[in-house]
Amino acid sequence: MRIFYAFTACAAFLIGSISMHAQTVKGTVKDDAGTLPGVVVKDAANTAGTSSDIDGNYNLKLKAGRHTLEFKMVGYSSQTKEVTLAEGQTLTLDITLQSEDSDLDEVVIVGYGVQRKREVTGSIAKVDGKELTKLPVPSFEAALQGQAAGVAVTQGSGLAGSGSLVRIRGIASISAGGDPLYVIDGIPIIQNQFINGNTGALNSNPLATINPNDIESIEILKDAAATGIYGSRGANGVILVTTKRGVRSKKGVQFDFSTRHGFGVAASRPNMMNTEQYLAIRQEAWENDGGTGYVWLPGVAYESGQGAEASALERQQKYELAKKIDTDWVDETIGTGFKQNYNFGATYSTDKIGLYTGLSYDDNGAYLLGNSYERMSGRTNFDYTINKKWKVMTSLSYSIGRNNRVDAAWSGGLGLAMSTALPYYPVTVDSTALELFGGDFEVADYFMWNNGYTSPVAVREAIKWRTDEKRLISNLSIIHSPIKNLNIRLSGAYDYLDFSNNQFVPQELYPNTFSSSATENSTWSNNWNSSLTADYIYEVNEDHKLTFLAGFELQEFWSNYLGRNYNFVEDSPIQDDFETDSTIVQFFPGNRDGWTFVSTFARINYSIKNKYFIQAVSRIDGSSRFGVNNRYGYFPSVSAGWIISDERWFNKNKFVNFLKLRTGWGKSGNSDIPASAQFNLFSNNNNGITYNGQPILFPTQFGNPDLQWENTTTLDATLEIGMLKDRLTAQVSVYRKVTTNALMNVNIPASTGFGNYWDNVAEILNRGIELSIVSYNITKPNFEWKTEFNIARNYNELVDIGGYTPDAVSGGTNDSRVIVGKPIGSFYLMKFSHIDAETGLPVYFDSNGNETFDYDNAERQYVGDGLPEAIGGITNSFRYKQWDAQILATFSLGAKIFDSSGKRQLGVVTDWNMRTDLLDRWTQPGDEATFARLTLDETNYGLPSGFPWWNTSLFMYDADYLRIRNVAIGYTFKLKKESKLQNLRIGANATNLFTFTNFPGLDPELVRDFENPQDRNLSPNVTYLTPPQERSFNFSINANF
Amino acid sequence: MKKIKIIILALAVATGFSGCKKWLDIGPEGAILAEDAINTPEDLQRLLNSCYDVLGNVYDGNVQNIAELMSDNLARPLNNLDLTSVYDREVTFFNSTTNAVYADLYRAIYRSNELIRNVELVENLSSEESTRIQAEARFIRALCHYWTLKLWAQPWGSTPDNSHLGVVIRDQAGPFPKPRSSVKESYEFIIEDIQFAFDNLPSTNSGYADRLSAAGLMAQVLFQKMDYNGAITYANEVINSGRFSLLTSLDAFQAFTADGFLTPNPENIFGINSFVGGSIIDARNEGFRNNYWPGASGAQLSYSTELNNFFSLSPQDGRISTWINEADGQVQTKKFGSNAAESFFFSVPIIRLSHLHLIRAEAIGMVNGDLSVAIEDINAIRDRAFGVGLNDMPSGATAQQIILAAREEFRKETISEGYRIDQIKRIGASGENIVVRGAPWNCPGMAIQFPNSEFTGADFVGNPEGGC
Repeated sequence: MRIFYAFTACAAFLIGSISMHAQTVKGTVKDDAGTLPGVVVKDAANTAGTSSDIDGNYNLKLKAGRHTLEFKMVGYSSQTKEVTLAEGQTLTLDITLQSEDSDLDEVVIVGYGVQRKREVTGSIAKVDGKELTKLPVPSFEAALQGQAAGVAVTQGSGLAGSGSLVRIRGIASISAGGDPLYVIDGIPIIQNQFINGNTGALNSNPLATINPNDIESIEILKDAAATGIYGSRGANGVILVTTKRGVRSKKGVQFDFSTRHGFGVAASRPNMMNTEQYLAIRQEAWENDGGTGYVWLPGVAYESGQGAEASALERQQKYELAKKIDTDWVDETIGTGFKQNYNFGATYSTDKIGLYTGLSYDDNGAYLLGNSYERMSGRTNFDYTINKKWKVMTSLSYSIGRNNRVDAAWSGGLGLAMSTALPYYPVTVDSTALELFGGDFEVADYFMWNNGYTSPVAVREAIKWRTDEKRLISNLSIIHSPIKNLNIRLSGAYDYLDFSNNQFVPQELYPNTFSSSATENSTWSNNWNSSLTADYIYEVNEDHKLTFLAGFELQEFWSNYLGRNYNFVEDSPIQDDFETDSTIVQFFPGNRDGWTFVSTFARINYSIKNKYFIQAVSRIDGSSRFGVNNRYGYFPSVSAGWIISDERWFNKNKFVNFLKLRTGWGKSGNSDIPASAQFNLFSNNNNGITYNGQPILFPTQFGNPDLQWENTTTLDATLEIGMLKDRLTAQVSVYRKVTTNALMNVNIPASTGFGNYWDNVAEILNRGIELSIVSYNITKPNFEWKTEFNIARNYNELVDIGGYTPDAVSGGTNDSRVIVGKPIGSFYLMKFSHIDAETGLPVYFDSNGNETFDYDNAERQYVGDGLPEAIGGITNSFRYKQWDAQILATFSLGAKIFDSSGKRQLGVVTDWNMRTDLLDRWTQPGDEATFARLTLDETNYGLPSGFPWWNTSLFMYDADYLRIRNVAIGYTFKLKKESKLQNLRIGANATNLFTFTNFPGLDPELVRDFENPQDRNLSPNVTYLTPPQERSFNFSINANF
Repeated sequence: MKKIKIIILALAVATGFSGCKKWLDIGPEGAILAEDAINTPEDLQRLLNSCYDVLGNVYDGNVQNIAELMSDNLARPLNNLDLTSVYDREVTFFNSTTNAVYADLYRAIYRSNELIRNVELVENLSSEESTRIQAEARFIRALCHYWTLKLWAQPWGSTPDNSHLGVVIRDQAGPFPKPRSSVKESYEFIIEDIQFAFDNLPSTNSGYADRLSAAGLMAQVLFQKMDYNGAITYANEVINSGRFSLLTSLDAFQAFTADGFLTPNPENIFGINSFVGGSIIDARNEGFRNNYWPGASGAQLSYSTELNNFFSLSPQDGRISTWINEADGQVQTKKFGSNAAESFFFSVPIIRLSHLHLIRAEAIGMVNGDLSVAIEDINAIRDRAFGVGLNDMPSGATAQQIILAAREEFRKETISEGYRIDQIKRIGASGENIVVRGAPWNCPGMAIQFPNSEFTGADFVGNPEGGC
């Protein structure tokens, strides 16, 4: 860091120029009401600046010559004046600033169109593209964290390519996908996180292929007034992404270039035991259980009997040998990941042409050894105005993502270092290990336990594994304006995603099988979208304006799958061509799964006197996903806005200068269900396996022909307020969302012959309040300080699940269930009371609240949930002369985390390594300890035999945190007029520097790997060997020329 | 304005839903819609094959291992937690291993029901074929219900009128929950299915269920139901048919031979097949292979010391050296082959001639029937194990001696095959004193807990948990 500062200081000195201050410009700044204090007056080249005093007077000293002066104040239109000063001249320049509704004339993207911010009647949060590139994120949606009230973004783990969990105003789905709809330049894009299931404990993230640098802005639609136009897909919110285009206001050619370099380390480190600690703990447990002599050790080969059956002598010998080995498996799996990123963009604009081109390369090395995600992408957006009546707009983007994979969590790697990689297991076998573990090992072999594919080092070294993603997003729009105020737009879009997972596992990792294996799973998806819309503005007179939109849209999606297995091969199919003749090859063609939508929609906006706004939206969606008995859904919404401060009676005082109330009611839906859940299905292919060489045909699914979308009715009211001439603006929203017909993929009795059945069953309530504040604390010419703050509270309740029990729907392997009267994402566990001081044994509460020593799965109950009571973000931005700085903090209050791996790391002593937290255990009567008397036998804790999965609330923790997500500092160089560079900034930033939390685990902000969308909805804040997030340090350069 | 009208009109037409029905009528490609699935007799046969496919996944050792672990034949598993729960009689509704076996058994039952339903719907199906397919479906349905009943419920005779809870009887397909039937109702349903199968199956059926498979199963079921005369009748059907002969060697689970092919097992009355053909190696013995095959630190499943001692009482028994291998401080098995390569791949008999000889012998003893037949049955097994004439029962043996000898041979002969638990439960339920590893034959854990999913919809009554 010191070197960096020295460098910037020297550079600043060299580029900066020394001025003589003998000339003066002075005057008074006013507005309609009188003089204006605090107006920034400065030279556009940033060489001098001041601000007006309490009486509105200013006095600025400048060099002789031509200057462009800027007069700026929040809430007013800026003005610029050209002045030429002779040597020694004093010029008087009085200025009157026009008050403006600041950002109210800002344009906001709404579905199928734009609106002025003033006219908007729905809840829409806008995030500028510049905010997205301020911190390095694996994928653009992660940068939305803390930016908008009610938009909960939880970043994924430190595994390269992991995505974020985004929830807008709570979760309103159980088994159907609960993520918002992502729409890029008008196209609902492929966003399935489960293309590759949960391979290697990683869900895929199709959004990662989108280059954040290409994004102009993101609009987040939150309520039905805003999302209603997306009908059956709007219920969980909509995220509209708009990419950069050449704009007429900046004519000519412009280039920008940026690069960022950095490194990342784990934000926290698992505290696993070393050999000495583990052996001592194990010995203590053995003795507690009444064992004599030395304890037997898992994984060790005994000749006199297995486990506790081994002779005392042999147990002692092996114990002594084990003491000689001490491997820190965490050190063997994590380190430092290096990152680099390059972006190049160009825009070219004339009256007829608008062109944006972007190229990008990003290499994001994770702290997990051997793990990185690379992305190359290119985009061209080209617009051509043929004449006043015709315009063509095109977009084309292509990106290639490559994830160099490692196992994590339950699948291996760091996950094993936190579980079955015992510290007395060696990385490579030596003579001690040979004596200890026997088997077929030879000296210098990698040591492998549990019959192979274990040792993180051996696996990492030996396998070849990567996933490749190729993505094309393109669209073409033809806009015809036959008469004034009428635009007809015909659009066609094509979105293609090719996802391929390739893995080669040599035979040496599977000592018990005779074969190596190479697998290749490819999924390629085609997504076509076409729409025809017409919008017309009808201005009745000055006070009455109507805007109409009508449209028709078709969407078709197909996903193809092909799996290939190769046995007895020397290498991976991705690495080399090889003779298929010499191998056993199995092809697993999957179903071609497809769905279609057909939709019509209309929107009418009525503006009265530019202060009353009414909007009505209707959409009809038909989809092949819905059962034949329920093909079409109707989604209406109405909303209104009123700018109270524009009323004559409203006394615009200095304190409140703007007040707007808006409210809306509407219906939206969620149709993110498997394409074919409505059908009874058969298959004739069981991964190439038949029986006795004879063909087979068998049922695979119970269909539900009545299946339909989930129906969410939203009521929303928002008050927008501007104070102190918009130096302080705030927004307060309240909302109530009721979801009926929520889909449950019910666990049906196994005796039906099937596992699951989709049905519209549940009712869900979300209601909440959101507050966001933007404050310009200081706006001096040389020093600016801006604070943005948002906080949101959401209450979630599962109102009805149609008479099923909580176990009817579960979150994967997590202990989350559906419990009436509790939130979605509730933990269903045996309630832990305390450790009995006399016996050291755990005491539980049964469902009646009585204390008991008996653990009983039938007595599980709601103990807490992973949903926060409040979330939010605080951004403080500073500018001091050429320096800028930003601190982004995010927080979450009131959520619980269930540390599912704690059951094994802090419970019964088994073949898992344990955490050093366990040292705070009961050892003698009278001890007040966190953890129970150690034991090797789960029945001592009242658990059933063979069931060390200690599903108790002992491992549920408060997950409150305040995280310093990003600290950035930058320096923008003073550039000489003749310089070809228009802007040059160098910067540095650090992510995840500090986290304030009482959570004793690795990371209080977590998204684990999920089995399916249902698990994703039900199991936020469950961790199971989940890698912590990374802490990264980066240096960057941005230039425009 | 005219233009606007035209455009609005055009939009209205475009937005009409006339063409939409077709646009929305798409289904998955590659999967088959149920209504299009079963059209021809060949389709029915393929659906029937898929029932055997499921049997191949569950009788590959998976269900047998659970049954063995409930008995006294095995030692505590090495480290598999689910199997340890079975051994310790503390299976919870979360046990993924027992739940998977249960689900597989009912998957075969579901497919059998689909088969029975579809037989009615397929044209061009000869009545002969229709009857055969229904009979095979009902055989499979009976077999799977029976194995569920013997593991997930207390045995016949636990209550005087057998009104205690049995299993869920599934005689039609559908996603609805259903309560358990009584043990009496369960047996009646199973026997009715087997009777239909016995009456309608062809006498031979190229390795799939035939008339004598049904007879063999009927003998097992009636024997377990303590209907000893019935058991004798059906055992006679099989034994007297002359179609089957005892293996001369003790290689009950024939490994694939040196040339890579499976030789037919002359003892096999009904079983599942592993298959080699073209590029396919389809092993249906993984449940055995993966659990009995020793790794670096011993085998997951090994025999109990008690069983080893039981064998040792007759040191001349050839099964000791052929089937038992003391290694790694464990009593490991060689029943599936004496080395890894041999036990890699074999077919699994479910009902074999040896079983029926010993069932018949004990049943004759129980009803004090023609004891000479029973003595012949026992000696046929002993001749193979000890050498001809080396350990024969004398011709004057009493019924009680025959019963004891038949039970002893049955236990030894069927190790790893999942039948010892039947013997224990039947002996206990008949009022004799029998203890399994220190616990009563009918204590709570002797009926496995049902999967969690059975409880989600209806007021389903599970088995008591908590071990014994």
